[in-house]
Amino acid sequence: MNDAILAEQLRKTGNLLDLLNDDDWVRNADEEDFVEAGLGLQPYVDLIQGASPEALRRQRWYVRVLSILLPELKQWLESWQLGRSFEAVYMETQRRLYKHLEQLTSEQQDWIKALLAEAAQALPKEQKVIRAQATTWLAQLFTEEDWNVIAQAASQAIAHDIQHLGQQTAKQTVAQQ
Amino acid sequence: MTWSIRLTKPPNDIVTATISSLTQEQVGQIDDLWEDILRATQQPDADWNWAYKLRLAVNDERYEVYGIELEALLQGVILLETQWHRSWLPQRFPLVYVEYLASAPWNRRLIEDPPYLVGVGRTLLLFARQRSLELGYSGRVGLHSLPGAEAFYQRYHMPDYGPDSDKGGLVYFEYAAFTL
Repeated sequence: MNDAILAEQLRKTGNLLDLLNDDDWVRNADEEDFVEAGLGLQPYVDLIQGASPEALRRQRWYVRVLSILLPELKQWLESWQLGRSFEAVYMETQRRLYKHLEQLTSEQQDWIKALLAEAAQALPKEQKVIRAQATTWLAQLFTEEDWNVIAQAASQAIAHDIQHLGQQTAKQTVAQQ
Repeated sequence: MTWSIRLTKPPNDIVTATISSLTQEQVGQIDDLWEDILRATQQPDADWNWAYKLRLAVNDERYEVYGIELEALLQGVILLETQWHRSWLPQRFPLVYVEYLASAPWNRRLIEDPPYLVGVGRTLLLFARQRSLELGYSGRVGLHSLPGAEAFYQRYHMPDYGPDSDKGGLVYFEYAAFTL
């Protein structure tokens, strides 16, 4: 990334991010190790550097599984049209999902293994029959207690927003008088 | 606002990700997925929690916080301060200061070979320069690199101003204005 190339891009399109439409530019990126800036990030870097091989292996497994399940979970929740409570519900369901992934039954582990094996085949989406079961699998994974906690998170988010918006509008009205 | 960006996913794919203002849900991924899984115990980190500062910055007009997302996973994050910081040049030009720039643990070669994504750090740096242009700062960007990351900024030709005693001796780097 030298300034001559960036300046040339600015002259051409006026936007540096257009470089990311250039396949050669994208492929020329070097593999990165540590890129962190900011004194406050030292504990984060220390955590990564001090992590055990077992912890790194576990994180790798989570990333592979979640890169498939989270898009499916998000799409499912979006179809519920939750409005302002969506983010709170999505956050809480993610937390619940992480917890369940720590203690899968053997049957659930078998399904995850099949899901990952299918993902490794790089099939077109319409041929991914295991992934097509993801929403049903997630629905069976969450317990009644999960749904109660998730519903509470939704109602708290809505209550907070209603109070905040109401008070904000009241302040504006007073200021105009 | 959301921008589409493209990154390399090894071995040979180019994938389309997004960069947009950070959401509280994404900050939750930093807590749970980037960090907690790596901890040996369930005890929270005693050090200053940088994700907490991101949460506060989301609602502070001095700051802009952006995250790169692919497959619903947060892949990198950048926290910019856009009003108070000045260049180290004698003219003290205003600039975009990078408070934090971080990539997810799995996007680095030392942890994952090959990394999950290639170019997350470079894209965040490019984005900072674009925001500097849009804010009228002519592409000026400053930051303090952590010791293990200095080679990254040198590789991308970011001028090195030496250690800063006010920032624990971290090396300060600063891009100058573009010459068009």
